[in-house]
Amino acid sequence: MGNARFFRSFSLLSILLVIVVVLHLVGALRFVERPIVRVLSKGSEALYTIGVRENDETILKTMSGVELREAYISLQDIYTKNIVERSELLQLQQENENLKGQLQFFSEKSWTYYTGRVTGKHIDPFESTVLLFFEKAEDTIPLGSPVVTDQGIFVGTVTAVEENIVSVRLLDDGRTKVGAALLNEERTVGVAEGGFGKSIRMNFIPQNEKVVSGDIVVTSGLTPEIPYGLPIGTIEAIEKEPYEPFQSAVVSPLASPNTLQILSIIVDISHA
Amino acid sequence: MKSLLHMLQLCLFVIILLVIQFCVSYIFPFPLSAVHVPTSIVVVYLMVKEQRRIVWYMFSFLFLLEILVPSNFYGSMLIPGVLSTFLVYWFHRFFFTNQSLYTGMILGASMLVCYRFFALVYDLFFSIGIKNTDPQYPAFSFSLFGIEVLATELVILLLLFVLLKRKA
Repeated sequence: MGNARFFRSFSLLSILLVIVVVLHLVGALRFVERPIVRVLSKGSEALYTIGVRENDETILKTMSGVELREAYISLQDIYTKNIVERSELLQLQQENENLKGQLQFFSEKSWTYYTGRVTGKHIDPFESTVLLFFEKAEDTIPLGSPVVTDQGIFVGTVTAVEENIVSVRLLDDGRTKVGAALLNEERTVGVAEGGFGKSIRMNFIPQNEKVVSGDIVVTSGLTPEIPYGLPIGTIEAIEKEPYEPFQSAVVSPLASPNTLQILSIIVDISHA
Repeated sequence: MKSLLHMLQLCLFVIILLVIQFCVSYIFPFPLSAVHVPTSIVVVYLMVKEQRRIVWYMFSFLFLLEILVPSNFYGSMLIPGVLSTFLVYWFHRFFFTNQSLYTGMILGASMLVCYRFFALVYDLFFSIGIKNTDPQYPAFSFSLFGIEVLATELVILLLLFVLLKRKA
């Protein structure tokens, strides 16, 4: 089989690959990479936009009547808006009762944030990551920053910044773990985790807490850099076994990971 | 002149591969979006053309993909992709040499296993060895891997069925 030749070729190829990685890491390949990214990311963005339209799960493709379709879309919008408004209302009530006086809705915060358009997503099916293009992102966007939609719905965190490209790991990624809280009487806390089956779960809910379907899930503020009160979704189903110390719940997200187009990255919450 | 033509051919091929990859990942619904495009291309190319050039095609394609769709650790697509292409090329040259559907299926499965193995090792090396702040295990799920293998094998089967029939 020519073992010697095989190992020689394999070693040479490995060395070449290591050289490319090292050259990239020290920035020696930037003069090639920059123009390529600028040109090709436009094409990627165009294809992503088509994909967003095709994968928009808010539109049921089996419906035929135009009026029915439009009514359904507007109802979905109203529903999301209502949930967001209700979450804001509940939070304000709780804060008032405790004399804390903090407002929770994103638009009323004086946070520093950057807004940008999603230009693509990670191609590996094992990951759920979207990409945003920002000039000088490396200097302005810290890792771990929370990312929200235009309505203030929490969708993920920044996990990598590669020059001008920001990678945002979404909630349904298998490695996402974010402190979450329920807006119920007990203010239950837990951990919102992504699953490879494209679902979001809230785990580590104490067994004695009362959780009901429809409860609103928000960020708990216990994860560094992520403030309290960003809406995540609603509880869809509860899984409770008497012999286990914790119960868990399936969360229905407010923002579909397949239809994200414009996102804001909160980089500074110190003014809150 | 010949080398210039080869360069043009390489550029065109790589751009077509990029468009295919983005179409599959962005537009196709799950589980079709789980098809591993590099594996499908490599197997089909090897079965039809049988040229070593595919390793360099994959190098260029994955280099572009790596800068357009950055992963957490640079090289986590490039290194596993190129090395597994190289291994599959050698498998095809010395072990699974005939041009048949089942050879294509075996090569596809081999490449996917090699790719995921190299990717896991590379990610583990980076997350534990180098980036020791907030170490994280690489993303992996057996059920998703199963779906990826099935979807990719199905595409390979369909493509080879058509192409080998035409070639014969």
